[in-house]
Amino acid sequence: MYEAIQAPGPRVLPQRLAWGSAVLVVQERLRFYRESMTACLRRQLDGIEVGPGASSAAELVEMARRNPLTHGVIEADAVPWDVPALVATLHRYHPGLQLIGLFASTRPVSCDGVALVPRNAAPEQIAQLIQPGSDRPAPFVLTATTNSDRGPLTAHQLRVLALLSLGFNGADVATRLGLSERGVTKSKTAIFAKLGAQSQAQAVANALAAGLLGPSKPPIE
Amino acid sequence: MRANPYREPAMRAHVYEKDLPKVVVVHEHRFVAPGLQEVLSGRAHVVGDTAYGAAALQLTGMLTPSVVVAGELLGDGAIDHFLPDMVRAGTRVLLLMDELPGERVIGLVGRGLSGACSTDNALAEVADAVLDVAGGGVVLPPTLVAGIVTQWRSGWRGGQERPDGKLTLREMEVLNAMADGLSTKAAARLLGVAVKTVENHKTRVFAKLGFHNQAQLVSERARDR
Repeated sequence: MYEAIQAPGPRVLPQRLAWGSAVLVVQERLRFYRESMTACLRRQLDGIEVGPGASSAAELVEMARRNPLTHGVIEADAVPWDVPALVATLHRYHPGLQLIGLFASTRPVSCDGVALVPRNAAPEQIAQLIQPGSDRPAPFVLTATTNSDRGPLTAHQLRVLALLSLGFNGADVATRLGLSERGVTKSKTAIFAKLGAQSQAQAVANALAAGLLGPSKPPIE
Repeated sequence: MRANPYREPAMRAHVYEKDLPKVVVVHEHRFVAPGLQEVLSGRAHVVGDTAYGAAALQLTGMLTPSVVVAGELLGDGAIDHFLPDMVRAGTRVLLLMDELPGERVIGLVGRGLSGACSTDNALAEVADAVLDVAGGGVVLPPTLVAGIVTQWRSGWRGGQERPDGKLTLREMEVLNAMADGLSTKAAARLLGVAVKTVENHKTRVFAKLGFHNQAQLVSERARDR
């Protein structure tokens, strides 16, 4: 694990980037998410250079080695590397480095020096953590939440149930959500108890009937 | 689990340039909509953003976007549960997926999906896909096109006809019991046959219709009703 962080990956930036005094890098494996988050933060933050993102811990470490990094946004769960080791390595290069860890699962890797934020936080909220008082007007977008009640299920349990309803088995769900199979089994047990179901098929049927899963109103023909 | 303090309901006035394609985003991650807005600036306008399928249906009705950019897992189910309503309303949907399993994408395209894009693509590539779908095109990963062409040549008619007709009467009865979420035992009692018989029918029905498990069957039959 630790070696993987020491050895630079193949996609290391070759050049030294000429940035200002404050530099932020987003580390995220999936390119679309990485670039979206980078674009959002670049818009939100003032006086902080937002560099090209890093896809892995190795790439992030290599960037930290070559550049005056002051802020970082990293994945704090479901990653194939040791998060505390990564944080220790980064802090060796830049002791004052401010890190924000994004997590999607119920149990993120918590460690000193990383502020944990749910992955579905608004970009303005992340920007506020990095730069208190940053308040750029967002683009004109009509945002909506639903008033449909999620009922007794937690957001996490609903994700598990939604994946099961697509025909995924326990192992697939575990991979998709970055959980252990045991964790999925535990979620399933809790879901069954809450929905009064004996099987996952019955749980899906009950959730659909109660409007917890899918459109709450029957579609109009 | 505590309520997410970062997800506060917000309503903002929407002002958009005329003649630009309108985009509604329904995705669990809130940086997707502003990220797309940044890169699409001047070419399209992101007019709506939500994390819930039900809210996406409302926004779609209000804003009549040229395309809905969707994530797979939403706050109130999977995109599969909302796709039929969106397609029925004439909305074009581009799906962003972390993985692109061929069978699943082709199935969704058969039900009216206009495109699928990997989340490992560049932001600019996804933006181009959004514009293509908004303009009436269909965007698919190149690796899947070959599979679709093969299926089409062998007479596949996605979305027109489900192969239910090939089931025997008994299999249909078992299918309906299964679709209500009944256990094998309960179905056997209902139909007045042995548990083993129901099990045999169940195996055959799943194989014929290509379901992985009963939960998927329940979910899909509910959508067809």
